[in-house]
Amino acid sequence: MKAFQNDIERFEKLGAQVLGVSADSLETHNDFVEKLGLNFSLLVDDGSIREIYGSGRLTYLIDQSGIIRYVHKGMPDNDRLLQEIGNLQS
Amino acid sequence: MKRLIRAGAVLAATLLTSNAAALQIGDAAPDFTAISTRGEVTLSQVLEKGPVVLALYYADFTPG
Repeated sequence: MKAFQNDIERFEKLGAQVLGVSADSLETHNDFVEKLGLNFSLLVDDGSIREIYGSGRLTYLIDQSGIIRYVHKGMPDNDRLLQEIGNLQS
Repeated sequence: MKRLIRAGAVLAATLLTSNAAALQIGDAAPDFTAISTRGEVTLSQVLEKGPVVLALYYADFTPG
């Protein structure tokens, strides 16, 4: 999540919002947000999000009409992701 | 120590779990509501403001 924070201004500039999702408790999430100084939301997954979206480290880009436009497996690649967000607007 | 055990558990989960996307490009993203560090979040409501990067990860306090 630190990598997203490092580039958060680039995401915001493109009007995109980052939502982090893991099964950690809200308390742990709050500690993590504070430690890394994250200024985007971390969601508590009770298992239902993973059940729908899949397992492991996955990054989805969802356009404003709710359609998935990009899926990345493994460690996120912000440059590629930002490029894909830019493509949504062209 | 607790954190070390936790890190070990996360590492094991990382090694045992593949990154398996259940949805593909072109699919409609199913809506959901979850609690978050900024209150309750519903995907469809966040989308009203712009595109969303939904980043699923293993656990807090792990790299990435």
